[in-house]
Amino acid sequence: MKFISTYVEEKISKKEKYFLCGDATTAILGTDKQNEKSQAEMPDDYIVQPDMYVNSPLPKLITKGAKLFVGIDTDIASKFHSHKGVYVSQYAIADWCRRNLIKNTLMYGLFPGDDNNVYVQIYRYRVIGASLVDVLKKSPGQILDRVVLCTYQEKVLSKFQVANDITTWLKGAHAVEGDDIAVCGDTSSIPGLASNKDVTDYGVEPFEKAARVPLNLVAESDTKQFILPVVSTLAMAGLFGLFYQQNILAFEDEKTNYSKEISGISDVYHNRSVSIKLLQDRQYYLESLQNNHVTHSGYVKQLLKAIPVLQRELKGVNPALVELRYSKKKESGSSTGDFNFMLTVSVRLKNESDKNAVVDAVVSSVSNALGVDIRSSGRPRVSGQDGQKSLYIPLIGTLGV
Amino acid sequence: MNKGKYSSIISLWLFGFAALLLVYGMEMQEIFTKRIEQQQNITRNVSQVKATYDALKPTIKAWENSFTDSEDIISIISLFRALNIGSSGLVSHGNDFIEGSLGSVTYQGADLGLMKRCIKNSGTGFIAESNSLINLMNGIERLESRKDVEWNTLTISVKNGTPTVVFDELCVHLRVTEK
Repeated sequence: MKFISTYVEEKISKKEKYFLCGDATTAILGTDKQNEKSQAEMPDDYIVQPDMYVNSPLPKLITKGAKLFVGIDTDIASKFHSHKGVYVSQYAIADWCRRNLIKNTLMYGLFPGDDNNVYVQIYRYRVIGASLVDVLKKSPGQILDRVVLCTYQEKVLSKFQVANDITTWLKGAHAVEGDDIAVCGDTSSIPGLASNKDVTDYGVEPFEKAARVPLNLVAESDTKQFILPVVSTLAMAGLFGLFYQQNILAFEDEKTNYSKEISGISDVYHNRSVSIKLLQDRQYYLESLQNNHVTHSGYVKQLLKAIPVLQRELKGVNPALVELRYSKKKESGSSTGDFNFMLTVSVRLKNESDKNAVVDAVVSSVSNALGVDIRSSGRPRVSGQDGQKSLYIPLIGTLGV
Repeated sequence: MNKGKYSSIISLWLFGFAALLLVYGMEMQEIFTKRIEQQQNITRNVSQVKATYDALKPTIKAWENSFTDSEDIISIISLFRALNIGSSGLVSHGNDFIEGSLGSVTYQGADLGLMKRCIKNSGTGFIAESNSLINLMNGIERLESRKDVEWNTLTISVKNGTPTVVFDELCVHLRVTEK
């Protein structure tokens, strides 16, 4: 048979995160040898005194890494309530734990250590049947890593309810999957477990058969310690995420804009098969062709229109077009871009003596018709017989552009 | 080690992590800002190019409509057909066609991707006739209105009662196939 202290020591040696206590005060505080005695037969002088915890195995175990110590001895009130020393021992253990290693994990509500409140609460629970959960609720934030509720006294009617209350409360308030609540002790108090055992048989066996309930508890005091760094980290992460998101989104937006812009002109922008400059040159060229067409076509029309005007004004000499020569080539040396043209008309002369007067009249008429200065480009030539003589008048002029 | 020490270490780590995030975030912010600016510049340039290109799109169409592909002109006859002189109301004087000058068309020194092939139907040039001086003028004007036809000098005269025009040569502008 192993006693709890031995069992816990084994757990510690295996570096298991497993710390507990509870059960009979004797088992907690006494040596293994001492615990071989029945608690029922435990002499009064064994009831621990306030300083006895120093020599008990439990504090030593706790110093090796115990994270939790909870002792709820349901038997206390019913069996040893008259033995003040029991309570003192509980108190002593709690006080020792709090002052040493495990104040954050010790259940202050049950073992405040500084006065008799805890004692009174436990006593009240036992005597007047107050729910242990109520006791726990009075000590908010004093949360346990693990609770091991050990009891062996089947005669304590409420013991199962106690275990049930605790596990229910822990599960409801703080339990998260991943940790355990071990409920151990008198197995008869827990349905489905092994049969009741005598107090002398109290040991590891019923403990190992204890029901286990998922639990993960974090002390409120621990939570407070993490609030600032966690909040800071989250804030930084959030800020970073915000920056990142904004920038990524902005960048993605730009990329999208770029894709939209480039999609329609990828052949131009990437392949360069048709450059913008070439297109512009072509556009200007097409426009210039249009303008040139208007210009040259207009000029030629004007020149031809000059003939009917001439015919109207010089009815007596019957002027007729002989030749109109028009060149698009600009006059060499001209800075104004003037175009040359040559117009030759013939008129019928009644008398050759009229030649000069007729030439002057033709030049004047054509000049007026075109609105430009023209001049004779050569000596007028007369041909034909009298009465049918024709006068050829070569004219030249420039058209400004 | 008790819980307090664990908490301190974890807190320290968290603060360190937060600081790291902050520094990293600031660096990333700077990098992203630069990249975004670069991207914005590129996009702006592309946008300008696109706007210019969009504005010039009609030119592409006009260019293709105005000029025949040079690869479609395989002979002097096809060149004459490209002139489509009949549609202008003029009649070609003779069918003995002669290749005229050949060259590329430039505009203000820029190569336009356009070549010029010229044709004559006589030693003096390209002679066309019409039944009246008015029709001759209209024919010349229609020919003049075509962007792909070029002449430099014309001489209008009435020979034997037939209005005649003599072009120095008639040239057709042809698109050089872009590859």
